[in-house]
Amino acid sequence: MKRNIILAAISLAIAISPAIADDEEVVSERPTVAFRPAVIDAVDRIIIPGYDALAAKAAIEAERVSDLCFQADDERLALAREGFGALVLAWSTVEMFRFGPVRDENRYERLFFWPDPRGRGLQQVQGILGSEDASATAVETLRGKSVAVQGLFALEFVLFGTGSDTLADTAASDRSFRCRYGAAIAGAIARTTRDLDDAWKAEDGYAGLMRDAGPDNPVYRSHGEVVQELIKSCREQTQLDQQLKLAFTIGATPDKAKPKLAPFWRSNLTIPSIRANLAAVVSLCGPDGIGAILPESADWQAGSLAFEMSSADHALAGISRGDTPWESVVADEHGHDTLRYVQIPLGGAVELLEQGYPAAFGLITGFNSLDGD
Amino acid sequence: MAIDRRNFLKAIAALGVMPIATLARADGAPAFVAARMKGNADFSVAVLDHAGTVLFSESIDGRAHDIAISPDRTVAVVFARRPGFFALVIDLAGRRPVATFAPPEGRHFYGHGFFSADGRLLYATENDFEAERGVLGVYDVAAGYRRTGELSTHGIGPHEALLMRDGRTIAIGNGGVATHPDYDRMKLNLPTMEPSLVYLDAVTGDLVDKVMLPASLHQLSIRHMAEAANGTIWFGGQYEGSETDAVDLVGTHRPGSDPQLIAAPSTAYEGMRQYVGAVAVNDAGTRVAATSPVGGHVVIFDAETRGFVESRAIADVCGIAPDGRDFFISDGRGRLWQGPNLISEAPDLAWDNHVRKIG
Repeated sequence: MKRNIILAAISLAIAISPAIADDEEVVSERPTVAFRPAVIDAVDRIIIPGYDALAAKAAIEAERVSDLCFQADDERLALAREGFGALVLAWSTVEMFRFGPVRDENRYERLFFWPDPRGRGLQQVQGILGSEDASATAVETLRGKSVAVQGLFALEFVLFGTGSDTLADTAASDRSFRCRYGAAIAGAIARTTRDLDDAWKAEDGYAGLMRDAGPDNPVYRSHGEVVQELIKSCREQTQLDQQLKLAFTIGATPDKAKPKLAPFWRSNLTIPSIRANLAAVVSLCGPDGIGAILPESADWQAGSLAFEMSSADHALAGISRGDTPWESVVADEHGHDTLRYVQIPLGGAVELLEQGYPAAFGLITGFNSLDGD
Repeated sequence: MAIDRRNFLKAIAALGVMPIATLARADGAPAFVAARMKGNADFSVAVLDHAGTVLFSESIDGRAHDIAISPDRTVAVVFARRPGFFALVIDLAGRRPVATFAPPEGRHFYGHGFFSADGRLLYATENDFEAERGVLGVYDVAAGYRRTGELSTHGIGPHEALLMRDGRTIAIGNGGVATHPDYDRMKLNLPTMEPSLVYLDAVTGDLVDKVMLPASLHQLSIRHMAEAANGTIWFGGQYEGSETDAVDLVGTHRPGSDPQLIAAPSTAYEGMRQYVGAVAVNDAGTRVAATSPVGGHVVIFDAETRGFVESRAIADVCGIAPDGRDFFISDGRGRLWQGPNLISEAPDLAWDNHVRKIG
């Protein structure tokens, strides 16, 4: 610090103008921790395969919905719905990454427009279905519309929402439009996920930026900063599952619950998608991920994180067997109690990611540098 | 998530009007006010003299943000950080808290506000979150800060707002980002956000002007501002688009013209990491500074030529107020700076985003 003051004083004294002072350490890092291997591992083992899988599932789903439009029957509708499930789980493993190519062209919101407290997405999707707006049935023109009518929730409504059974009914008059809109959404999702995957992997892509962190890097000045971003992703996702997807939607008691504010209740993928979120957090930040480079004195935290997450996952698995709809799970006393319980281990995990990990690595986010004002 | 109003009021009631005095140098005159955190959760607002000595401080129940100073310099109003549900009124001469108030049901503070020229009214930027629109809450000072009404800010997410030197025109930075207290601080409308600079007539409440950046910059959230001596509004933005976009973060606007972003050496804006946390004009009116806690830099411009002057590296820097020809600066590591000189350091303290000069 003194060095910086002296530097600033010198730069004034010799009146070099314009002057740019040296960087002060924004993130103080423990020099003994080798962050780079953890960054390479996260990119190569989790991020890129995650976006690869997402693009692959989206391509399959686009085909399945097209098939359904070509020939309507129960089997093809079931395949399209199943493909949607696989697509949602693939999304849920990369949902935590709110940085990088998802921030270009509003890709995040194009895929996952949530939360939507005013129900805008549903209104707009219903508007398209009601008016049979032909421009919503081609990928290119659909992509020019609101982000809320071209993503996972729009496709979910087409495949699972009110009137979706007509998709298997060749005699239904509104089947054709609904299906063609669904196919266009699936096509738009396939396009967005492919763009995302490409943007990560391109020669000058975001993976390279993370791997090559350093003083001249426009986004990451050190690999410690990248690790800090990854830990933040783990923490934010866990917190979002705990507070918004669970606590807020289930309320203090079943009669205060608002289960339809949770994502993917129509397709009954709420719990599976949350479980996929948590599994992704463990994979990235647990004992086989960033947790592996914790300093020895703090490496117990990785096991502790895995334990908390496993407790939550076990409880969630116990109440999501069979086809019981999410709303029924929330309305059921045991289901509600379990969902309340799950928030406790998730809270423990958040604390580790918010306090324990950053402290152990010396990666303390500035008071004013938190997502700020 | 939100500050609990009842607990806060209870705490204030328990406190009575006893100031928690940490008198280090009683001869100093109050010069600056800033919120801070000690340790992990001990929040307070402090009144400092010119040397950065804390003259007295008041405990508060949660994190605060900016401060409004009355025109006669006798009162400071501290606003809670967004989504904020309390404001604390401090008598600067008596060195004690004299009132607290809260926004009405359905509104929360964004953390900034200002007094009318005659000191009778206090304005606060607020979120009408169910209707997703920004408002300026209007509070009657003499009536114990009773809320008498509100003005539309003609945009979403108003953040800093100020009364211009003409004493009549209100300038507001509508950040454009929709948030709802049920969803904590999540940004709900990034694809469609439309930040704007809005001018209102304080007497009639009428919209005087509303200006926006080009569509390609609709994700540059206009948050903080200051008025230079020549009547130009200087604003600082926070960019919500791609991390790899190189965006000019500071701009100026003169009523009747288009807003203009200021070119600076790329290294200067790179050092700000797409984020400006505060903007200030020096007392001489010759320099304008923008701070970035995310990038850890203060960037200074010439108010007349609009040219880049210098950049100073200070980790977690944010609070900035005029101090003669330079600036009084605070950071999240407990440090205070007079211009480029470090004048005080307390590692267990974190100074909050804004520091306000008294007078």
